Amino acid sequence: MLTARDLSVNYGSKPVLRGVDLTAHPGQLTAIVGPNGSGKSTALKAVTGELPFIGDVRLSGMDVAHARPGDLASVRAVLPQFTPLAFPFTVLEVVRLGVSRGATFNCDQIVNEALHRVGLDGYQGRYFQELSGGEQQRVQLARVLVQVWQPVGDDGPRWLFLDEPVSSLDIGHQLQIMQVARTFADMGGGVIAVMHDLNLTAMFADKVVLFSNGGVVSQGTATEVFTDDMLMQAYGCRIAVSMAPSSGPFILPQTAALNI
Amino acid sequence: MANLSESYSNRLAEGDRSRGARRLGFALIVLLAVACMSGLAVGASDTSLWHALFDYVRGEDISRRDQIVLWDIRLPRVIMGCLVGAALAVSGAVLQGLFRNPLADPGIVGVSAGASLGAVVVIVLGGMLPFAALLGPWLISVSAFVGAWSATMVLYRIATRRGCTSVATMLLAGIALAALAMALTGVLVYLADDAQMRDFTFWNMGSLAGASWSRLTIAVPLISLPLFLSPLLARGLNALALGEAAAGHLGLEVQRLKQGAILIVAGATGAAVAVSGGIGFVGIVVPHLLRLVNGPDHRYLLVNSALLGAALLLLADLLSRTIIAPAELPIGIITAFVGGPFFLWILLRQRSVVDL
Repeated sequence: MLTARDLSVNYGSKPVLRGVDLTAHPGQLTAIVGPNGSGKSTALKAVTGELPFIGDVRLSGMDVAHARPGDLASVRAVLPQFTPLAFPFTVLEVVRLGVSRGATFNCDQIVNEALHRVGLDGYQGRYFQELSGGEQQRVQLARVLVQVWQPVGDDGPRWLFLDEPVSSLDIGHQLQIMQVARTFADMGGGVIAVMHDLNLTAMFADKVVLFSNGGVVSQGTATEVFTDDMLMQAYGCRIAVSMAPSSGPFILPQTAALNI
Repeated sequence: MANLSESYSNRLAEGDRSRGARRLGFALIVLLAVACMSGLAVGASDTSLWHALFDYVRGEDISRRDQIVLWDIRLPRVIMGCLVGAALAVSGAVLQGLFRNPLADPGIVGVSAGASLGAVVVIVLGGMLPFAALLGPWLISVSAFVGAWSATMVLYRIATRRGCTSVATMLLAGIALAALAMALTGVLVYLADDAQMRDFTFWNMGSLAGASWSRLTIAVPLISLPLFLSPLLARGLNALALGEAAAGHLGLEVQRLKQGAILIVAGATGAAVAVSGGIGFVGIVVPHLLRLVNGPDHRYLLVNSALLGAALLLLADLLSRTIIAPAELPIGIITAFVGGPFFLWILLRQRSVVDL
């Protein structure tokens, strides 16, 4: 379980996150949504230990602020929004970076299977830098998947932290990648994803945390969080929420902007 | 998991260049051996390695002159060439991995200039420094190391903001630091007396001519230690190619890696510059060539860089002492003649790809 209590982050003297409480459970896909600059990515960076923070964050009992990088890496993997790569590595070499040092499994099998899951069969020999932005993002996701290959390890559940995993992808690959994350959660792992697409969020997330202005304004299931009023308050524009019979709420932006 | 295709196993994965890199490593060992033998066999004197070996095997005495030429002149020089070439190439590879940029080189970003300054300080002010007597023959090397270390630290501090190292800042700051170090060096040279000036000038020209067994007793431990430790950085430098944050998420102790890399670069460069003066461009040419052939995996790049750097420097040294024999062309001139155009070629070729 991931718990963050009274989590605050400042950039210099400017507070970007103010007293956030957050919990996420293994076996669930938790989505963090909210407008640009609301603190979503900052919250993700704090709970992964990348940013210094004030407050208390525990991941599977580990104190994130003081845990060793190696211990954290064995239970959680992080997909950044953008991963710049130095030097001409091939796709295979990039994904292999996710293989931990003491790995006992057949690493090439796992690497190939991970590439298959993100829809990049046959890309092993391509140069990473030659790929499109969306393909690069999927290569990085394959690397991240390899790092926590078993959703539940001997020592408990593993975690995936995804910062806008599908923002640069076409709709087909968006669905494919969200399904990969969904499967990871269904197999007992924990997934926390910063999302922009509210419809995908409603379709795949068990729990939604809505950020606005450096704090959490609402959390619960998509049906509970995605209401006309709540979304208008957070995003500052008119959004109509309807219910689809099969997949729950769907969100339709309206033309006239209110506060812009 | 169970339904994974069998076809994955029993064949070399596409995109896997590790086998090629290992093969190249063996080829480089052969090249280095050839370079070492050539370094022993060829020189200004007509002493023949083969005759000497032949005589030795037959149990006959080798002439005293041949003994001196082979044992006291050529062999130390070959060993020194191996060490310095390996040190410069590995320093380049590590520095490039640390800065995540193929243009980083101890000579270009001011690390060598820092080492020079360190060396000059003790050559000129040696008598006045309180700890000079304590360090004895290690003095110049230790001081060059401190100079290289300080330059690398300052450079890294300036170029790194919030965990991101800016390449443009690094190159510009490196040039500024190098200019500053050279200016300070100039001041010290200006203050120096004739004997000190002579010491410095010979040292600064960049040459392996000063190689001797007594110098080797200092150079061997100082250079080999960072060389043998450098493979420990390999996995970390690979992860660092993804950026510091992603490397940390992979479980890497980023700060420790950076400190280790800086110590290794400063140690290897400092010691190499201390014993051989300013020999440029080995650190940039060698790793770049190897990356072109077998990719950037540092587990192979560092070892192969050491081998190729050693072999290339030996060959350059061979040129330097035979081109205008019995006089010698400083080896730094030869490496600059080859390395300068090569560096420009990399810049032109990568201008579109690498955004400075």
